[in-house]
Amino acid sequence: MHQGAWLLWAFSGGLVAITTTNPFYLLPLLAVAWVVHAACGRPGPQARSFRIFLIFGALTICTRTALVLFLPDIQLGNVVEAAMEGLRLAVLLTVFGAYNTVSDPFGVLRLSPRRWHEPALAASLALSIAPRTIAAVATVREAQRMRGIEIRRFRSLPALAVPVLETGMEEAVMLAESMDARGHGRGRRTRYRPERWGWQATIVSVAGVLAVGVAVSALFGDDPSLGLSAFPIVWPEVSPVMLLAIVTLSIPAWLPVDSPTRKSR
Amino acid sequence: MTIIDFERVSFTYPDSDAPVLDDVSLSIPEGTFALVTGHTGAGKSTFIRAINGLVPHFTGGEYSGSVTLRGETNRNTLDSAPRDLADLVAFVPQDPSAAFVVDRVEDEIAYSLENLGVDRTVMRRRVEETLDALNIEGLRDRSVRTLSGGERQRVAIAAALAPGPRILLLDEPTSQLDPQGAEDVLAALQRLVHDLGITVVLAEHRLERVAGFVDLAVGMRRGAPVALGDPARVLELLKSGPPVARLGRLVGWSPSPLTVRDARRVASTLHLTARPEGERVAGKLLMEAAGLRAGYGRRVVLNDIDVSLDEGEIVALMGRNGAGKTTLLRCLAGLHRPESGMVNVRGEAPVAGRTVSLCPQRPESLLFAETVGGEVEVTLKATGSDSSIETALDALGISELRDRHPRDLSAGQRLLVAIASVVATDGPLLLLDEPTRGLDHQSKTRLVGFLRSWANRRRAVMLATHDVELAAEVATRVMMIATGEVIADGQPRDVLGDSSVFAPQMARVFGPGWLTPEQVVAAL
Amino acid sequence: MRLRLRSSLLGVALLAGVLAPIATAGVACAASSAALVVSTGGNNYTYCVELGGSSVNGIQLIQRAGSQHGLQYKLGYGGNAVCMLANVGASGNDCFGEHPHFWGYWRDNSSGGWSWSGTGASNVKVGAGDISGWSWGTGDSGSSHPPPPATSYESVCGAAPAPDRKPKPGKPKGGQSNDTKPKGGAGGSGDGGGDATATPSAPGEDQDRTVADNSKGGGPKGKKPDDDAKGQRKDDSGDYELAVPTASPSTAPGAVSNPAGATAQDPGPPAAAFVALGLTAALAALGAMLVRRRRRLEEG
Repeated sequence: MHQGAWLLWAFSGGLVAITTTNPFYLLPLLAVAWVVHAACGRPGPQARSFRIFLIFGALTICTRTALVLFLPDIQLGNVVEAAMEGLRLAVLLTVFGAYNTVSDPFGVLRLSPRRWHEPALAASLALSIAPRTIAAVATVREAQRMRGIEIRRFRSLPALAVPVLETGMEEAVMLAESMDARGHGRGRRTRYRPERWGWQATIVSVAGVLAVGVAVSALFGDDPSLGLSAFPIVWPEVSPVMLLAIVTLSIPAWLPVDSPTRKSR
Repeated sequence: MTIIDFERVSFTYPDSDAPVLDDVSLSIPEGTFALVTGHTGAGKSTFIRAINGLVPHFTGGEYSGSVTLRGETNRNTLDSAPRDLADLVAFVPQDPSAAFVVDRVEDEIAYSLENLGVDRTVMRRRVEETLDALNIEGLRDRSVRTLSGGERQRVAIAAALAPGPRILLLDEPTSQLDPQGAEDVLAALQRLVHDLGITVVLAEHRLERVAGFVDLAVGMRRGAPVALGDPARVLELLKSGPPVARLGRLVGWSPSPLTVRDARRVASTLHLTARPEGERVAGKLLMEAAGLRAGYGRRVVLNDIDVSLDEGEIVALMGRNGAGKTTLLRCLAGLHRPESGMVNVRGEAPVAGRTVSLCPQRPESLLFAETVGGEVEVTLKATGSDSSIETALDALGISELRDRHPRDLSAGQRLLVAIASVVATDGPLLLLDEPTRGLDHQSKTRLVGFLRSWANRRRAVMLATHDVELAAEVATRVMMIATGEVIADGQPRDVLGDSSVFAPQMARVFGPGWLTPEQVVAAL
Repeated sequence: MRLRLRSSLLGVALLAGVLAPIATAGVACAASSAALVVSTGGNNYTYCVELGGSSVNGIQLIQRAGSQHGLQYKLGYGGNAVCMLANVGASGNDCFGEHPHFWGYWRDNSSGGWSWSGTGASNVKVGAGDISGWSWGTGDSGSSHPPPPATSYESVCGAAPAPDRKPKPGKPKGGQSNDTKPKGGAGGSGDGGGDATATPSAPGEDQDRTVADNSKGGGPKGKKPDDDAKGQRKDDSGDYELAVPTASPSTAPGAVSNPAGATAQDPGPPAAAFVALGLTAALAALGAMLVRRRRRLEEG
C-alpha cells in the first residue's frame, strides 16, 4: 500500500490517542495497532520490532504512575489519572510502532522533497533502527552466553546494551556512507517504480480522516467521554461513534494489503 | 592513460595524531583491475575512500594534496562530495547487507539512478543492462534478505554499477564468501574490466583468490605505497601473497607465480619425494554428537548428522554458505535445541560458557569493555576463574594490546580479542564461526599458532570456515557438509585434495595430498 | 488523470471529516445567549452569557460567565462540582466543606419559576434562551433549599431569542434510551432535569415522584431496561436520590454529579464500555493468531 496512506493512518491513530485518556478508547486503539501490525507487518525483524514499542509503552505507564507516588498525599484518583496519561502515551507509541512494522523505512525518504533530505534520512534511519536492534539483541545475547555471561540481571545490561548500540551505530554509519556514495540528496529525484495509490490506500485514508474528524470534533465539543474523571473516579462514558471510528482504523488488517516481500520466492 | 592521480595526498582522521595516508603519489591507468593490499592499518580502506570523496567528506579529518579523476573534465575528489561523484565513481562496501536501502533487488539497483534524476525509460534500460552484466537477471524479484552472500555482493556491485561509472571501488568483497561465491564475483568484475573498460580498484586480504585476476597491485605499508606495478613484484616486496607465491619465494623462483596455472608451469622443475603422511590425532573422546536433526520451523537444516571430536583435534568445518555450518555449531554449543539427537561434551550436555564456548562471526557482538584486558577480565569474573588475564592474551599473542580500546583496533585484532575473551572460559571445546572476516596475514598467523597450542592441551577446536588455505594449514581433520549432511570427514589431504572447489593451491599444483608450501619444500 | 482522481477523493474525504461533526453539532440559533443567576443569600448577581452558537453544560456556563463577566468561581471534584461562586462558598476541593451549606442548582421551569435540578450541572445542557440559577443555602432538595429570586431570561439578556430555540425536554429524556445519539458533536448528555419540568407541578414534589420512578428503574449496576440511557448519561438521578434520605454531603443532589463518597451505588461502567473491552479482546486474539501464523511461515 502506498506509503502516504500508511503515514496518514499513523497520524490519525496518533491524533486519536492524544485526544483522550479514556481507557475504553485507548485499549481498543491499542488492540487496533496490534492487529494491524500482526496482519501487515513486514516479515522478519521489522515485524518483530513491535515488541520494543510494547515494552517502551509499558515502561511509560510504569514511570508515569511511579512519579505520582512521590506526591505528598495521594489519592487513588491521582494514580488512576497518571496511569491513564501513561496509557495514552503508550498507545501513541504502539501506533507508531505498528507504523514502523508496516512501513518501508526508506519510503519516507523517497517521498520527501530534496530540501528535507537530511532530516528525512535521519527519520528513515531511526525507523530502521528498531528492526536492526531486535536482530542485534538476539545475536548479542547468545554471544555473551558463550563466554559465560547470562544477560538477566540489571548488572549485565552493559554487556547487552553496548554491543547492540555500537553495532547499530556502525550499521547506521555504513548505511549512510553507502547512501552518500550512491548520490543520495544530490538533486532532482525520479522514480523507478512509482508507488501506486490503490483503492486500499483510499479506504484507509478515508477511515483515518474520519477518525480524526470524530476525535477532533469530540475534542472541540467538550465531549466528556474523552476524559477520565478521577476525582472522584467514575466510569467514563463511551461514545459508540468514537468507538466505531477507532475500530475502523483497523481496516488495513482486513484489506489485502500487499507488500512486495509477501509474494517473493 | 591514467584515470586516477594521487598527488602528495596526506590524510589524518579526526581525533588522531598519526596520518593514515602519508604523502601518497601514484597513478592508476584506465581500464585496470587494480589490487590494493597491505597489512591492516596500512591505509587500504582510506586509500579507496579517497577516490570517491568519502574521505574526507564523510569521515571528517584533515587532508592535503589532491586526487584527480581524469576525464572530459578533471575532478579533484578530495574537494568533491561523494554524491557529486556518484555517476563517475561507484563504491561497494564490505558488508552489503548493511547498505541495502530497499527490499527488492531490482529496486535496489535503481536506487542510484533515482538519486541522479535519470529519466525513467533510461532507468529501465540501465537496470536491465546491469542485471545482465552481473548475470543476476533471475534475482530481480527477490528480497535482498533472502540472498546468499555471493548473490548479495553481486547485487551490491550491480547497484553501484547502474549509473555507468568509470571506476568501481570495492572494500574486501570476498571476505565473507565461500570459494564459489568469490569466484563468481571476481569473474564478474573481470568481465566488467575486459568488456566494459571499467577501472576496478579493490582492497583485499585473500590474495589467493584475487591475485590471478588483477593486473596491477598497490602495496601499502603504514600509509604509503611501497610498491606499485606488477602484482607479482609487489607481493614479493611485501613478502605476502598466495601460497604459490610463498612457495616461489621459498624455492627461489623469480618472479614468484601468482596463480595455480603459473605455478604448474614451473612446478615440473621440482622433484618431490613421497607425499606427506597425514597424522591421525588420537586422543580421548571429547565431544560426541549423534543423530542431530535440526532446523527452523519446517525447514530442515541438519539431517541426521553424527560428529565426534577427540582431544587434540582441530576440525575444519567446511561447506557452502547456507549448508548448515552455523546451525551445527550452535547445536554443539547448546544454543539451538535439535529436534532429535544428542550432544555430549565429556559425557554431559554442553554448558555454554563452561564446557563449550563459541566465538561468533562478528566479534563486535561480544566487545563492550573499555580495554582489551578488561574484556578478558569480564569473562574471568563471569566464570569465576582465577587464571590471569595475561595467560589468555599471551595465548593469542596480543599482550601488547592490553590497554587499547577494542574498537580502535583493526578487524583482525578485534577478532583475536574476541577469541581471547571466549577462550578465557577455559572450556575444553572451542568453536569458531567463520573467523576470517578482515583477518590479515599477521592475525592469521597468530590464530594458527594459538589453535595449535590450544589443541595440544587436551582440548579440541572446531572452526567453520571457507578459507581453504587456513584449513590446509591448521586442521587435523576436515568435515564437509552440504544440504544438511556430512559428505566428507577425514584427513585434510584426502578431503581437500579430492574437492574441486575446496582444494588448496598446493593440491591443485602438485596433486592431492599436498597442503602447504612448507610441506612441499620439506619434500624436495 | 489518476492523480487528479486521487487528490479529489482525498479532498472529499477531508471535507466530509471536517463537515460531519459540524453538522451533527446542531443548527446554531440566531440568538445565542443564556442567563445565569447567582444568589449568595446576601446578594444576587445576574449574567447574560454569550454562547456563540454552541450549547454548554451548567459548569461551562459558569466558566463562560467567569471569562465574559468576571464571575469569581471555584470548581471541585475534577471540575464537576461548584464549590464557590462570587466569593461565597467552600474553599478547597471539597465543595461540601461548609456543610450543611452548599450551592444548589436550579433551572427554569415552564411556568416561569425555578425547578431544582436533579442532575449534576456538568450533565445539564444549557442552550440559548435558557436560564440557570445557583443559590447558597442549606437544604438537600428543592423543597428545602432556598431558590434564587424569580428572574426571567428577558430581564437578564434582553429580547427573547429566535423562536427556533432548541426544544427542551419535549424530547424524550430521562428514562428513555438515547442510544445512538452522537456523543461526539454536541457533547450531549442526558438531562434528568427534563423530568422535572415535564409536568407543571410544584418543583420539589415532581422531582420526588420521578425520583421514585427512577430509583426503581435505576440501580447500582445499570443493567436494566433503560440500560443504554444509563450508559449514555453520567447522571442517572437514581444515584443521588437513593442516598437522599441519608443526607450525607457527598450525595447532595444537583451540586455534584458524582458522589465522592460513593455510598451511592456506582452505576457501573456503561454498556458501551463492555463493547469496547470485547472489541479489544477480539482484536487482540486475532492479532495473536496472525502473529503465530507469521512466525510459522517465517521459519518454514
